[in-house]
Amino acid sequence: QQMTVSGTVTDAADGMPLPGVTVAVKGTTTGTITTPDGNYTLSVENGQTLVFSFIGYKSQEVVATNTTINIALEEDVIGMEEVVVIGYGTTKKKDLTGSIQTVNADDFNQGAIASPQQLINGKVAGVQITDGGGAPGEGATIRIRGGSSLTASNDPLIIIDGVPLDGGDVGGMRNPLNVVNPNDIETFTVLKDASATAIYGSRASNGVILITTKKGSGAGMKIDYAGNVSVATKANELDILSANQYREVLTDKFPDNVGLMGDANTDWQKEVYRTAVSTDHNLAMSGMIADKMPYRASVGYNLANGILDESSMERTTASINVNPTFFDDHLRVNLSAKGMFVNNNFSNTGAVGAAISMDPTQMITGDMYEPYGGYFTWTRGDGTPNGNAPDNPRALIDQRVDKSKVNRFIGNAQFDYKFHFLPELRANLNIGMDMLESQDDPKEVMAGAAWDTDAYLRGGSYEKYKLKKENKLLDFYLQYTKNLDAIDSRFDVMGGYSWQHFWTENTSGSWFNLPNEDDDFVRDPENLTRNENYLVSFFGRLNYVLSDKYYLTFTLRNDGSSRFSEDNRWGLFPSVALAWNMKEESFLEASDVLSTLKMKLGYGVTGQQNIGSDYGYFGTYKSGQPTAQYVYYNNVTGSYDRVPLTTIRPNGYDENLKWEETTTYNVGLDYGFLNNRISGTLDVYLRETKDLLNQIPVPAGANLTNELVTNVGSLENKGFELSVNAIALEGSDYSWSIGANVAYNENEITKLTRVEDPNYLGVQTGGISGGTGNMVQIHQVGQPANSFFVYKQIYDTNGMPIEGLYEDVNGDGQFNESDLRVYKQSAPKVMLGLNTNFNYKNWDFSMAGRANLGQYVYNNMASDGGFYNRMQISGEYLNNLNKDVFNTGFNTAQYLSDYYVQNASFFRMDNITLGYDMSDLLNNNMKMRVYTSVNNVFVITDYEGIDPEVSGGIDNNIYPRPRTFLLGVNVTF
Amino acid sequence: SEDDKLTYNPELATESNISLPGADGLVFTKDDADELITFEWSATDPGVSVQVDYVVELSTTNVFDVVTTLAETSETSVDIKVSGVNNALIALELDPGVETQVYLRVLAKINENVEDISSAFKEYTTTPYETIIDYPMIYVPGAYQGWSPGAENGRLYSYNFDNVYEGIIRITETAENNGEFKLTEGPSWDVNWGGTLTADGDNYTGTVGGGDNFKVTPGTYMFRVDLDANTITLTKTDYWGIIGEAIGGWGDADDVIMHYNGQRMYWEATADFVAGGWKFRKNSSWGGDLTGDSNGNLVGSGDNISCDTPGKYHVTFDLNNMTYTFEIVE
Amino acid sequence: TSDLDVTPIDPNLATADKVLDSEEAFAQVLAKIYAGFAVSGQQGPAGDPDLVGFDEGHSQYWRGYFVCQELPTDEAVNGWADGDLPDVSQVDWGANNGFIRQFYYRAIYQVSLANEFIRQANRLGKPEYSNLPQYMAEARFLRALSYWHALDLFGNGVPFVTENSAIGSVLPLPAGENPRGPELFDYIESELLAIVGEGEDKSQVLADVGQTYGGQANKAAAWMVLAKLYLNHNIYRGELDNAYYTKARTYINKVTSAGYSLITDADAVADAVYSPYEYLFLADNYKADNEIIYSINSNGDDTRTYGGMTYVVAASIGGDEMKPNDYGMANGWGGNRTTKALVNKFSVDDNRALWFTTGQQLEIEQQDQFTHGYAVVKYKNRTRSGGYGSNEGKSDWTDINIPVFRLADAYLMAAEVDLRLDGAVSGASRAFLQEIADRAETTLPGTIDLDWILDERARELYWECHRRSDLVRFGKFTKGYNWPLKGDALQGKDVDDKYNLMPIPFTDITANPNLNQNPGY
Ligand SMILES: [Ca+2]
Ligand SMILES: [Ca+2]
Repeated sequence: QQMTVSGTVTDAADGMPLPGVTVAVKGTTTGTITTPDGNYTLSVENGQTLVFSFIGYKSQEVVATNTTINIALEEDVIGMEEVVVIGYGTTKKKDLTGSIQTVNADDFNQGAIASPQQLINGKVAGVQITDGGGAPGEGATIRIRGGSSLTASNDPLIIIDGVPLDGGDVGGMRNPLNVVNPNDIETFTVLKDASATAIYGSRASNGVILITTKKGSGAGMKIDYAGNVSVATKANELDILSANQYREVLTDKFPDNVGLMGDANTDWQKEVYRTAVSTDHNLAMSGMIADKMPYRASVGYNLANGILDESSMERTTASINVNPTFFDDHLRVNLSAKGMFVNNNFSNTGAVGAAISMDPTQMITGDMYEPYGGYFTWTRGDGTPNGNAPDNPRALIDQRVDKSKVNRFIGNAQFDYKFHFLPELRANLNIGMDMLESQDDPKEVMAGAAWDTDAYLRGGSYEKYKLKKENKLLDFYLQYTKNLDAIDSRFDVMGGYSWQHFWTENTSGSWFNLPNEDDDFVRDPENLTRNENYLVSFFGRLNYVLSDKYYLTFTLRNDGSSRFSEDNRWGLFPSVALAWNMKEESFLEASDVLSTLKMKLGYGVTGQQNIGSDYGYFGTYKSGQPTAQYVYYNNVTGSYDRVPLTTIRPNGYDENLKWEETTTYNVGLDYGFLNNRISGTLDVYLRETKDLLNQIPVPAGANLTNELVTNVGSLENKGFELSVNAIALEGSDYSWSIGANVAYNENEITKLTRVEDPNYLGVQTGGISGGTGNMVQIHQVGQPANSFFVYKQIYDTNGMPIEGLYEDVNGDGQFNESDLRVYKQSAPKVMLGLNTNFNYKNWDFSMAGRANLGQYVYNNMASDGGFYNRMQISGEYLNNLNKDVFNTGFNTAQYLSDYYVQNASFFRMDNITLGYDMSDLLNNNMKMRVYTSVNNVFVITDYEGIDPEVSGGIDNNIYPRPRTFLLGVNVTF
Repeated sequence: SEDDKLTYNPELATESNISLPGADGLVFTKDDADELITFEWSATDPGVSVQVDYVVELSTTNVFDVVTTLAETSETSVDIKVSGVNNALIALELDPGVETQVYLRVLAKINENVEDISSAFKEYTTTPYETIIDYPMIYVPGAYQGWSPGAENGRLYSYNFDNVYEGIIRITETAENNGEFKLTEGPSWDVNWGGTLTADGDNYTGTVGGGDNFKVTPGTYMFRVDLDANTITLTKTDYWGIIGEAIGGWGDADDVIMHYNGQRMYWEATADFVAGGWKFRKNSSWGGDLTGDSNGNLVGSGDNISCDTPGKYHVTFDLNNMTYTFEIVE
Repeated sequence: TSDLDVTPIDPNLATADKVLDSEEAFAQVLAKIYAGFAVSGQQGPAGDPDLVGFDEGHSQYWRGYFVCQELPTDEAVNGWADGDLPDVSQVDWGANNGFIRQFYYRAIYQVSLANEFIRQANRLGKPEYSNLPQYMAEARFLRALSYWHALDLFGNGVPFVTENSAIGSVLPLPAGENPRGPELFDYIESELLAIVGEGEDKSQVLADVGQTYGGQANKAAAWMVLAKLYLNHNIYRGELDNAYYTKARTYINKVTSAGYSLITDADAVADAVYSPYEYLFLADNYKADNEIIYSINSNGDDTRTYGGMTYVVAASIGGDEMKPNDYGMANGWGGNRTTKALVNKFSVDDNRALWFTTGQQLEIEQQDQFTHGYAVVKYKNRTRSGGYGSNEGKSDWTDINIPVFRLADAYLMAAEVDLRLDGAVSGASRAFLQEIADRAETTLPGTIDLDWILDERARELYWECHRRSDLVRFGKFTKGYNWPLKGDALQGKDVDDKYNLMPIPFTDITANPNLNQNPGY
């Protein structure tokens, strides 16, 4: 039944009429907009729904039953009331004084995500996440604002639900972060500047990532299921010679060696890679028990198969969060437990390199190779395998089992008590533990495996290893919050104590299957190492807010570590931050365009103590292994009996070892326009690290080693980060948002030696494959860390490099190692992240991509594979060539040529997802979304290697990142 | 695609210019042997900053198709003894005592993968002198060579000019005066010595003086005659021959025995060869025989040396340097 | 809080006071100084290295010493594309050369190890540890040995530290200001005299000949270092003084009359497949202790390294024709060969010419081709009767003890001293040379001069790490004698005299401003 509806639309805040508001009839094309005085008139069917929408305001829907409908729209200031996790507590986003960025589950990257860090790659300005490669569940290098250290770890501190993970690799596991099922994660919060991180003191120099997992809420029981199936394919392969090209080139270049070739046409890369199908299932149950106890429990099962044949990760996770409250909400308890059970199959990543080295004219298997399990093998004249020759890639995979089993448990109990007699005072106790056990399951080289000469000669071998970690945590703090309305102020103070114990035990050894003459099976003797360290801390924070405009945060942490001597044990890490909410000032308050403007100034000192050794400051004596003994022969009696003696070695140490210290200055600006439809932040920072923990040569004779980790040198990172989030379009059944961020960082080593020495070259680093001990990078004063250190190639007039001709850079008439020079940096100068979401009715579409600019990669694949003499080695065996040889014509290896330092700037489309919400098709209690996505869609780059994204800047035999197609479904009921 | 790519363009290079020696710079006599000749040139500028090494070359032609290297250096000058220059001329197979034209140039070596940059050549008139060292000699005439003082196969040399004479002589069996010989001061019988020898195993020691012929069991001996101490020592040693299908067959009697050239301290022979393989063997029997590689080195194992073109060849066999030569004579 | 005062919980790690509570423990720390010459770390073959920042195999003592003493000479050439290693074969190194650097650090590291042992023995030793004084003498011997190597290669300007130096951030002073000065020479001399019982303090003296295990230093080992020191005194002290040649003669005489004898046919075993000379370099060369005065010991089961004899043997196996198994190895690394300059020194009869020539050409046209130059098969991980060592030919861990000093060397030194002092070789010394020649099946020339001695030292002692020192002593290392690749020229050319001394690594000049660079670098 037709009716005419009219009314006025006003601003809920001040009652002023709102012109230009869209009034639409839902599900139709009918609609109008309000007049300058906020009035509208519209003809509708009784019972139809009207939608009132206006940019910067929350939309409202009203069913048309009356003829007069007046509406007051509320401003929609996006995000500012959002609660953000910070160190030892939470705060509202609008009260933040530090540089903090949070990514919520809604904004996570989509698609085939096996490891948590992939959820936020490209989402946070200044955070670089580089996967170690394409292996399932692969670890990643995470760098926040460049790295503040040289030798010490540059990894950020990661804290999961209040439990800090200790740094360091976990044997038998590709990625220590895999303990969390990505589906259980609620938020990722990245603390970037020191005013935000200083509360974590000595471990915060490289930033802090806080991960919180999903918790139960609300009444009733909700069940979520998320599942997907994905197909991973090889995205790219290395350009090497095909069998026929190889025949042609070898016949041309080394006619004497053509007899070494076979008759086959084998594409070894094809033989080792596969198309891999993976599945992921997650089931979560959440709700409230007895009206008091919210809970969430989940189980996840992920079978991730890698494109390298046989490689896989099978992960089962279980987690439970229970958050009961007692005494009228005075006591809030948070119990959290996460378990992870992983079965890894590492396959044999040696096959990645072998597949590009192996002569493509050889057959894979043949009857005459029966002694080697049937696999083609390069042998010497007497039939023994030639240990220098490339290994048969298929044999590498088929004749090795390398599996591991990892169990990990992280649990904590957090008690937050609001005092009955003084509700402003809270006490918080957190007790947690992180336990891990990782071991072979099994790891062995089969009999007949010619690629491991020693094992081949003794019927194969096997290895046993076991890693155990037990880390314990106790935090306690008191927090007092008070509003002082009289002076329009509020403040809170917090003070606490933290105790952590890190304990690790490592056992390993390997054995042959056949004994030696003494009936001994030992290959590498069993070795056990055990380490521990303690960290004891006191910390405090003061927040003061005046008139909701001026904010002050002051934090202080005093850390004591067992890794340093009593004199240097305690480190004090202060920070102070000021924020000015300019939007609240009278001169901006009235602005309709500007909705947020806040300026933040931060200063803080953080530390670094992750130095690899727990006992570096005092002298220790280390017993040697049975294979590193000294042997006397008893010829006094003439019997020549062996008299082996286990040795004991005094180790070098630096009793003055202490914290590395980073001072950070940060200026930040939060801005928002049009009710924050467009918002973002701009940060400019300077970070100075002094007393760098640096492994440097000690004066010969001064200590019991030649190099020590000691505190010397300093470096600097400076840069800016800008992020923009915008809702470009929004209507009743569509919306389009765009997020972009850009980060620029300049890294410079400012000092490396105790004594100023302008002639000091620096510390060479960046070992490559090819030769032994060759290095192509350097840490040099005045240059970014890990700059390349190479010879300057000279080219001919056709642009071809002239083999062996390099500039005499120092002009002394001689060409030698003094002519090595710094050339380009390996870290990106500029990082960009881009993502966009588009929703239309039930459809959603998103894309996310990243770009790194100004980064260079040493193409080790080309330098070690692209010269003709590599084709045949002393007439013993053949190697395939990298096609780059056609660009250079090099006959001999030119490892130190800057030709191989190549621009590796890139743009990668990480992900494209298309989803459809099917909830409407189902009954009301059930929501369902199906989606499909592609990961690693394409890469735009000039770099000629297989992939420009290389952690550390040296491209060498990286497990190629696959392209993955996925089909998934999320169901909630 | 880098803007700072450094390019080497040989067309933009400036070559060296030889300033020394001047036109008469290579005129010398044997008496000047130890004098120095200075060679000097301007630096080659390749247009890019690279290490440049120089090679000073002499040639008999101005197109330098036959060259010998005088010096290699990274400096822009070098001092070479006259004897060194003379050796180079001899190496160019110029005849001693004959005036001739030679050409000098300096090659700037940048890198083995780009062409050397040559200076303009300079032309000189020069006369090489004979270089073989005239060691003092005594002679060993004997039945084995027909009692011929001065014959090629009976000479001992004093390598240190110290009145001690050494050499290897193969004393073959003869029907008469088997194993007998004398020493003479010159290639005549004017001054001659005999003496007695005492056997010590296969070796002999004795004194020089008396008139009787020395007498030994025929064989090959290392001689050492000390005319100050008047002692003589003979140490049994090996003789060497050449054998093979290229030179009469592989039979046990087919060795062509070489004679020991004491002045040059190697064995040599000149003989007619046909196409085929051959090698060196000692004492006309197998064991310890040697063949040679294509670089002129003697080696213990490997293929026979091959003679591809029949003709008369000169063979030298140098055990001190483990080298050999095999060159057609006509 | 007391939690922060940790002591190691690792069962293999403890503080000095806890470890050094028995004589046996001191023996084990002493064994580490010995092992510092044999292996590269506490794990074997690799892992837990003594020195860091290098490829661990490269950093092994004898491998580094071989690189410095053999590769720049006529005796060896290496063809690997390992950084600036090719420059060492070319006598073309700079002050940053990584391979010279790592031997420098290894040599001084050994000094530090010995210092620490002596320091702790003084502090924690007990009167009832009756062997400790001799252990301390052995530690002092090993320190003197490494100091001598450092003096020979790097000169008098190397950092000088003793048991009285503090550990930590001190900057050691150079032994002396002059690169060729007397200070380090004098110190090594006084140390050696003390431990052979000829100093004022005779409390720490080495055992007599015949009273030690194989691989343990006795007095004769110290006499050898003394004799070498004196023989090279003009190089080390920068001036000639015949009194030192006389002292050299004194200690050579002690060695040659100590009861040692050359390995000869008399030592041959019934089923021998190798010659007596080869016995010195085999897996069971521990039996050659009548000639070998001091060796660095190895055993395939107990002593594993990528340096030492594993390196010397494996690196000399390459090409398609050589079979690692023939030399008791699992692998060949194809790196080290020799030059025609060495090969041509041998007469055809000389049984010390142990080359592998099939598939090899004598002429070196390319440094990186293993088949250019003859392969050297002097060292073999096989026993006298042709059997295998403890690895059964199935790994690269050898049993060959490194012959550091042996009698034949002393014999040649005796003749050399005769020539340097008297201008002629004495009858006794000639008899020594005759013994060597007899074993080699060669003949002695009528007159023996210094040139012949230098050549004979090459023939007898090649690849035993004497060559660079010998060439320097004879004035032939930089000029006057050239060999393939010297000066980066295929046939060799003269090089700058600065190469007689190796550079003090730039890293140490930087870390320790007290040090001065050697002239010319
Ligand atoms: Ca230069
Ligand atoms: Ca060089």
